[in-house]
Amino acid sequence: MSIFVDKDTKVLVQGITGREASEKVPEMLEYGTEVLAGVTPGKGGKEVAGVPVYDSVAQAMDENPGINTSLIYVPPFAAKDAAFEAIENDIELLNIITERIPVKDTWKILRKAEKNNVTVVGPTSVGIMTPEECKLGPIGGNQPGKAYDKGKVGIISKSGGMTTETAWTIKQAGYGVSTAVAIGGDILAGTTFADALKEFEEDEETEVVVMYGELGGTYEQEAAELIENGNFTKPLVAFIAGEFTENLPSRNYGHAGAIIRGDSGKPSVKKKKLRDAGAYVVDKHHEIQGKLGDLL
Amino acid sequence: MPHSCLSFQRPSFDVKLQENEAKKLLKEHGLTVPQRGLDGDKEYVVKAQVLANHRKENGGIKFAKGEKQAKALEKEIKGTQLEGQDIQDVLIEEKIDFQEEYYVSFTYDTETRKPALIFSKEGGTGIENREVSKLPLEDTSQFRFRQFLAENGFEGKEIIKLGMELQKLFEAFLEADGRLLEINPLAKTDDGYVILDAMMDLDDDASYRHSWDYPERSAFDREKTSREIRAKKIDENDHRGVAGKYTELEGDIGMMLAGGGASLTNMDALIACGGKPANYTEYGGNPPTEKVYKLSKVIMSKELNGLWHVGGTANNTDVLRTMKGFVQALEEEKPDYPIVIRRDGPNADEAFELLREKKEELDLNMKLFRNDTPMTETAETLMEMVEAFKEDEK
Repeated sequence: MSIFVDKDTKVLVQGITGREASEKVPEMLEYGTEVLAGVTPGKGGKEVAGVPVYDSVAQAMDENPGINTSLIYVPPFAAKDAAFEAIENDIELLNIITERIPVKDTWKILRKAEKNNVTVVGPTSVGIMTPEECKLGPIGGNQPGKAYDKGKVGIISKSGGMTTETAWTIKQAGYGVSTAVAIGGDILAGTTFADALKEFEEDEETEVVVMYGELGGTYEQEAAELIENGNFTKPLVAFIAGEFTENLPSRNYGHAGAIIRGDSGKPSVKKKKLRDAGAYVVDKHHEIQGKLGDLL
Repeated sequence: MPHSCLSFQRPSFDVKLQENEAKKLLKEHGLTVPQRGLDGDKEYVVKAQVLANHRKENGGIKFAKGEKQAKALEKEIKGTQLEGQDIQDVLIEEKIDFQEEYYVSFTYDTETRKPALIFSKEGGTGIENREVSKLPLEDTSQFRFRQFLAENGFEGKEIIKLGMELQKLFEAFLEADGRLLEINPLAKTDDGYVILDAMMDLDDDASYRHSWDYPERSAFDREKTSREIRAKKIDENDHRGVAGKYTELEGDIGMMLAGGGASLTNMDALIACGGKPANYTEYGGNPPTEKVYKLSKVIMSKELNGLWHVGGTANNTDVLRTMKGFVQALEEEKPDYPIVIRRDGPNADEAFELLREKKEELDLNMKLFRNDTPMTETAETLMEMVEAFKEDEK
């Protein structure tokens, strides 16, 4: 078991001929991920690391039955279009790696995905990793085995770099990972902490979840609410970064943000809410190790 | 990200508009704003153009009877300061008589993951302490606004008229790629609705599809320092990787931080160990040696009692290439204060070989760690060294 990706994940890469994607596809193949096809409009007939390239998602799906996941690497201006194409072709899971997609486009992608029961992870995701089964995206770099051992700890992280740093910390403590999900740090996230926690709750393999949160937004608070409502019952270890920013001489104008969110974007507020809900909140990242030792 | 400390929003940031810029943009979208400029002997409003919340209470908004007084007030306000900001620009517009004033804003709401209208029947000053209603929005259909107004105590023709106005505002918000639009107040007059004050943040990630050219405005409560300006130039002339984010702080520990999430994590860790950062910096992507050298020089140009160069295990950043820039700065500065480095990733073996050589050659008080030591643990190591160093200095 695992969440989102496993040995049955069959991948389509949209934007496969781009510099970033063509570098990462060989890494994914080497790890054993099944990358069946790629799409770049106008580049149909080419190959990237032996993976056939098509002009459209529909063509790729016709020729490669079984594709169930799309990894989206297209540039920001074309990302919404690419996501729509994947959704309309009934791909179940989209993992959007692209950074800096305008928030309006992200909103439209999420709205369409919801109507069609499609799961989106990202944007600004560094990928999803189920050790020994599937590495989706750049997660773990070219030596994913170094940081990711198979195990029973789930990871959910807003930051790409800190996803693997957290996996590494878990490995140093002598444990492994069931699945690591990089949800991205954008204001609108296709998969939030709460969404991923619901998946981990159902996953038999996962015994503990570690989450890496940051300042801003309300997704960390929703994780706390999920525990309070009894919908996540496994131990949750949480680290929330950016508390130092609360003492910086910055300011906000206007009231909309304050009216909607109050001061809930502050890391100290998030930490308190998670603690009150019964999560194990650590103040320093490396303290995750000791906490896992207590729990496992 | 976005969110509270705007300078640290990752990955994107907002383009903040002054009132006069926001009004000009909204007018282009077919909305009504007061007539700008002097036009005979009538009543005017004279408004300081600064990004501040309480302009009226702080003398940044004044009323004038006639052109002469308006000009005099403009002169009086211009060049002074409001909430620590220089008033460089003053907006003069006709004074509008109105019957009602509403608060209207649009923003993206993380709770619903949709845009939302936030509305109050009683706009104007003091809005932060009044009840408001929130309406999550699926699309730009007008009926949503009519239904919302009917539920909020409006009746008759006003449901249609104000509903249309709200729809137009929402369309403008979307077309302009806004991240925030705040109208306070939207005035109800005999001739329809007029926007008396507007604030707007645009989505920088959408700038490629607009012809915006607004000056950069920091969310900081102060002018950029000379070091911050120096650092900013590093990225301006070279777009490979990011190495120009430098925010000067009060402390004495230089911070050379790699990676966005890791740099937030490590700032917190140093402070938790009793350290006081001299700066906040993050470099990332895959910057060339030259850029890391320049950034290192900026960091080392302060009076320091310690220096922490820390990052996670890089996926893509060439550790040798970046560390070479840091070493070049060490060679020139030859610091005597303690230095702790914790880094790993591509070509880290060669990078640490180079660091060990330089440590010997320059006789540096420096400890080196790879990823077998947790990142945040090395904050404790550095602070122990700093304590000892300060004792020796006495």
